[in-house]
Amino acid sequence: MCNILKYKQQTQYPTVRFVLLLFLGIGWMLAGCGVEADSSAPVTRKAVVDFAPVDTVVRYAEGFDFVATENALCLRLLDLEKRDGSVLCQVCRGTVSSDNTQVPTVLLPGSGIRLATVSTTHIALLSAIGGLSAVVGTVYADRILDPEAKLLIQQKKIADLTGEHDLDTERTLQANPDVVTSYPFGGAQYPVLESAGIGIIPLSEYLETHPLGRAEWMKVMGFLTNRSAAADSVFAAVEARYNTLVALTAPVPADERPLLYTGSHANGQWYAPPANSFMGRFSEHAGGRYLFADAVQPGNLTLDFEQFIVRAVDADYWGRVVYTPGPLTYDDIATEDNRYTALRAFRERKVFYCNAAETDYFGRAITEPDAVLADLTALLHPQLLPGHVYCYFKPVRD
Amino acid sequence: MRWILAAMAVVVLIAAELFLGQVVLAPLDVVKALVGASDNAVTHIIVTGSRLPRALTAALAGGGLALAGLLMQQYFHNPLAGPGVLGISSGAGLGVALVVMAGLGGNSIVGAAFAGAMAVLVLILAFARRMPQPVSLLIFGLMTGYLVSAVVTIVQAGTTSEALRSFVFWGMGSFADLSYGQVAVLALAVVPAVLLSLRMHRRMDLWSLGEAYARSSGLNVVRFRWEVLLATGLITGAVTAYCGPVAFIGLAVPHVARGIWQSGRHSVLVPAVVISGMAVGLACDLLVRLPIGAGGLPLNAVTAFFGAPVVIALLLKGRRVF
Repeated sequence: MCNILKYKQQTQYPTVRFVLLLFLGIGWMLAGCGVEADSSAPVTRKAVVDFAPVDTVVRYAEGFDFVATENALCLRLLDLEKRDGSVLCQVCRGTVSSDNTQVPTVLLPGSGIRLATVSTTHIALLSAIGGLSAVVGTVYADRILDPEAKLLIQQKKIADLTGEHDLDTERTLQANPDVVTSYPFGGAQYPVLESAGIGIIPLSEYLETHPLGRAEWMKVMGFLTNRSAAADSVFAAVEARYNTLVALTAPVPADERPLLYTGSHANGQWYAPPANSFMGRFSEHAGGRYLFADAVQPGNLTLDFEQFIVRAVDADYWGRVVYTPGPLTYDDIATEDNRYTALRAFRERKVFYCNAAETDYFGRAITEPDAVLADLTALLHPQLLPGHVYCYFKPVRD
Repeated sequence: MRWILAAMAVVVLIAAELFLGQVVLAPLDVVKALVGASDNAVTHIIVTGSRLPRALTAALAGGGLALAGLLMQQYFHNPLAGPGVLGISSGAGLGVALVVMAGLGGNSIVGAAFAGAMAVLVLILAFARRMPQPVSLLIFGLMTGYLVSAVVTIVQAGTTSEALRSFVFWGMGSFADLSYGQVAVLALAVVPAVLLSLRMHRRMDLWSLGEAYARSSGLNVVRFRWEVLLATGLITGAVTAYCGPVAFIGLAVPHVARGIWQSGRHSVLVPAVVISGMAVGLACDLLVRLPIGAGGLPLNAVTAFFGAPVVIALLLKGRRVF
């Protein structure tokens, strides 16, 4: 997990630190020399301690916020499993005294950060803001679908760090990143990396429940790679397009909102995201009614197949995320389980799907929730988006 | 009396499988659905598309695995032997791991599991003639299992989280979601194996007295071995393909049946083990379907919870379990 004040930062970047302090000093003077900074409350002004301005307002994401102190701007990464406001780690630009540090802290270099990641989603977030030049390594390079990242991997500018347990310690040390963006649940190799001065930054974007909240994590990547302006700009555009679509479906009366469901079937159980999930929100925003709207809970909903069939048999639409070579057909679905043929969505040919083997659903789609929402809106209400070209979700064909 | 009670237990458990479930159905509606007179599509799917094939699967797989366990324990003269001892389950696992990694699912999982199981069975049969000692074959089977498991682990390490999830679910075991066609294939593997075992009960009696005695009594050891391996392989391959690697039934039920019937004669033991296995399979599936926790318990957890205490209780009562 996060180390306390990154060793490498303190020992290997004296010039950078000097420049940083110089900018901090200028920033302090520009800010009005002696303005009291509240170290606990998120600020809503443009922070000036960074090289690039940072919009510190977080609108949809629940897993991070920004806190400005007198000499630093810190990204606080919150525990989204507990959702009690506890801080997993803070990542700071500026000067943070170790005496005042109450949470694990990673100090960022002033510029030219070298970043490694353990998630293909992080690659997509970085790609969306043009931040891939900061990436020196990633795990599972063969699974990355982002074209720019694939090219950089081919050119050996991004190293494949895949090892026995996600991140190979030796390859990571060889790649010499300043930080590794990881998950909150840690890894056995992290203490070794931390002892080498590599900051481990646990990101929880996958636990966000609002589609825009997950996309908003591009601001985190912007902060890490010093591309906050680009991140803010890209996110603002995504947000605007998303909310335009929400406004388009908002007037649809309740009785015209089709009932839809999603989920997967294994061992006689149906596993579905709850109402307070990514897909639950998408369904509502696309002008639909989510079948499991009454289930607000952490983690997936589990139903016995009997319970599922009772609830889903008359629902209008069935959305699926599959991983299969080639297109999905109704024959495929019937072959998979003949009982599906009794579902209304199957009978009326209203099953739609996203093939994660062909589209970057677990990567780029995270940064383009507006494109996903447009697909869903066009599927549920074709008249609202005539001539729509499907990007991620599309109808199953006969 | 024991036979009547065992048969009644199976009948009652099948009825419980049909009439009980997560969705409460009126008994009359269940009967109507069974005779094809239900006008409610949902009831029809639940009873005839879910509960009935599930009950048949539990009975067939439970009885089959128990018999496979008996055959292995008798052949190897080892009370710890079970259907998985030949590495056939591991072969099925390798087949599943390969297709899941390729992004395939559904029936291809079943086909791959069956192909993997049969490949290991053929390998064992091919090498069997070179290893006349049962203990050599036992070690060969175990080593094959380890090798195949190693390949499975390598495949798993390089796969996606979605594929890994599918493989983990398959590994938990389940009697759910089989179509009637698949149940028929399962029956085609299990029923002939049961009949074959019943046919060779005298030879199994001879073998249980020791290989030397069996040979001196005129037993064709080579043929006997082939028949035992074929019956075990067919059952294990088919059950593992359709239900995943179901643990413990094959190991525990023969001991339970020996404890109840108190007989070493295979004319008694084979049907006793099969009927006991059917009952245990059905009982375990009912426990799986109880609303405990999120989505019930995995089948392999239930079989172990059920099987281990029963065997321990029999041991504590001082009954002969082998």
